[in-house]
Amino acid sequence: MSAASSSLLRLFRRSPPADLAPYRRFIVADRHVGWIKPEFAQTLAEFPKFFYLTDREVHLHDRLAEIEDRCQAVADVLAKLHERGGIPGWRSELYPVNRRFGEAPLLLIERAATPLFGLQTYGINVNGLVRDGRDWKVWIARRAMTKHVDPGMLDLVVGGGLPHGLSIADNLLKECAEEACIGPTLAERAKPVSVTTMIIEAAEGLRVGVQFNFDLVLPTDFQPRNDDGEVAEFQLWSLDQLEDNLRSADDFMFDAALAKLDLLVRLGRIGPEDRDYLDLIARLRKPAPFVRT
Amino acid sequence: MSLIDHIHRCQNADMAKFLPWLIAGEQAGWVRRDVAARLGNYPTVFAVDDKQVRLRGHLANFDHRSAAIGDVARDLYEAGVFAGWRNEWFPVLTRFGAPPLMRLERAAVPLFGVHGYGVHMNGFVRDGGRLKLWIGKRADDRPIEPGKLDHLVAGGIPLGMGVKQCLAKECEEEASIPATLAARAGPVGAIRYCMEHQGWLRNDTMFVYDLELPADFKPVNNDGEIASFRLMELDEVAEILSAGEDFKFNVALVLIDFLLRHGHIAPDHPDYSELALGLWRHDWM
Repeated sequence: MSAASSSLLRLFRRSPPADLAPYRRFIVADRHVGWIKPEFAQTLAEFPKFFYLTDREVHLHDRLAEIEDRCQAVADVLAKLHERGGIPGWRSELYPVNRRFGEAPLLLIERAATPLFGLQTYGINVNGLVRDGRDWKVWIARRAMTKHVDPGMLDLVVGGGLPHGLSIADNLLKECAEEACIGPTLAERAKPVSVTTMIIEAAEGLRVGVQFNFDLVLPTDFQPRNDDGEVAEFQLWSLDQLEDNLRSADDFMFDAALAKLDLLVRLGRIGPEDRDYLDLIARLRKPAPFVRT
Repeated sequence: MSLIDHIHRCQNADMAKFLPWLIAGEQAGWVRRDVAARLGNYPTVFAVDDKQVRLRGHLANFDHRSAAIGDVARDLYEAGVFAGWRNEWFPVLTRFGAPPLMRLERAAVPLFGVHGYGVHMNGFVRDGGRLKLWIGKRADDRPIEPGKLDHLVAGGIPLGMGVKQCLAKECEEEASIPATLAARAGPVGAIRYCMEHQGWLRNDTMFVYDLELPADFKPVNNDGEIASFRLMELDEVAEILSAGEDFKFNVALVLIDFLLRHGHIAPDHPDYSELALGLWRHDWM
């Protein structure tokens, strides 16, 4: 394989570990939950009833003691900013704000605003696998050009963010149906296998992600089909093709590339003989550096 | 006890109790503060201050370092500072795969807080749609964790041995798994923990392998390290883990990893992401 000598660590150079020094920590109910760019911090300073700034921090006002008060205040501010065009990609989906999955949320917030506040979000990834003798093939999706994030890039067969109030199991069934026409009987066979994390700088702010990865073994005659217009096409790749692509190209969106790297590690396609093996594993499993408050 | 307690138990090291130990400007380990004071008694070998322990610069190559520190280790062993001399060499590395800076007696690895590398292999059997794991019981005369439950094959990687070679050797010695079968074991990841264990630092990376075994395979121990083997349902493994400390401390981590990778612990577990991310200690080397 021509690209075999090229280090998989290049995936992480594409999105270097964010330098968090210029960011202000976002504090809700005395807990550090995100990172805010200086420009957006100044925007929030226009709403002193709800936000106050210190040297290193932006606080949602402590006076907003109940989650309902916090949700209302933040929703009002975001609605004003949205009117001004300050929040691209508005989704009308609420995301929970907390420091670990399943913990009671401190706040619920519009999905499109999560990178502005540098909030940790959760998502599911599904590797669609097909048996190929003793080996595997893997279904790859190309994102539609109309997607707000990473249009046209390669992705997993099924993936999606986890909004507030939807369980992982229900979200898995919903995304399998919408994104690849995988029915519930088949989707229920998806097996949870790992957690990968990411923290990257995006145009609007910081994307902090925790991804729950699943493997789903699909029948050889199954052909994924997209129903919601989010996927342009599906391709069935060999693991060689996948490894070669990850080593040589930047075709995958970042969280999908991480899920695929994790897959290659778990399937033993990349092993201790790869000089970067331990560094790669460390990078896949790094928790967000919340300051313990 | 719950599963997450095994993570906390193995990731409990408080580095404030230790001083960095440097060779040629690179960190090679961690030394307990009281041990650092003792190392100050060997001024031709170590320069000790309140921030760090440095190996003297005149010890500039593998042989000189190994000889000088070997003498100090022997001295401290004879003085009763640590026990269990093994006559096995471990490499001192700043990065796995890099040339070793020196070699060190295995029993002195925790004394200097040197990063150890090992292989751990889960041997499993498919029974219909279910998986079962071969579990060993450690012999009562083992220096570490006697009588505790263990997985099929595990061992530290000594000086001059590669990961696969070490795995093949341990497969033969610990479970009589023939080389052709052992060669089918696949790497599935790695676990890093840093633990204060009986006052010493265990600073370990475990290369993890899975091997699917034929239904009629029976492991037989060859080196006296394992007293008996038993095939266990994953539910039973999870129950024993949840009930207490019957498994050797680091084996619990390898088993939690196995249960996670094979979908036996699902994201609705309240500690799911903490379990998954807790299998890697990030703060050094």
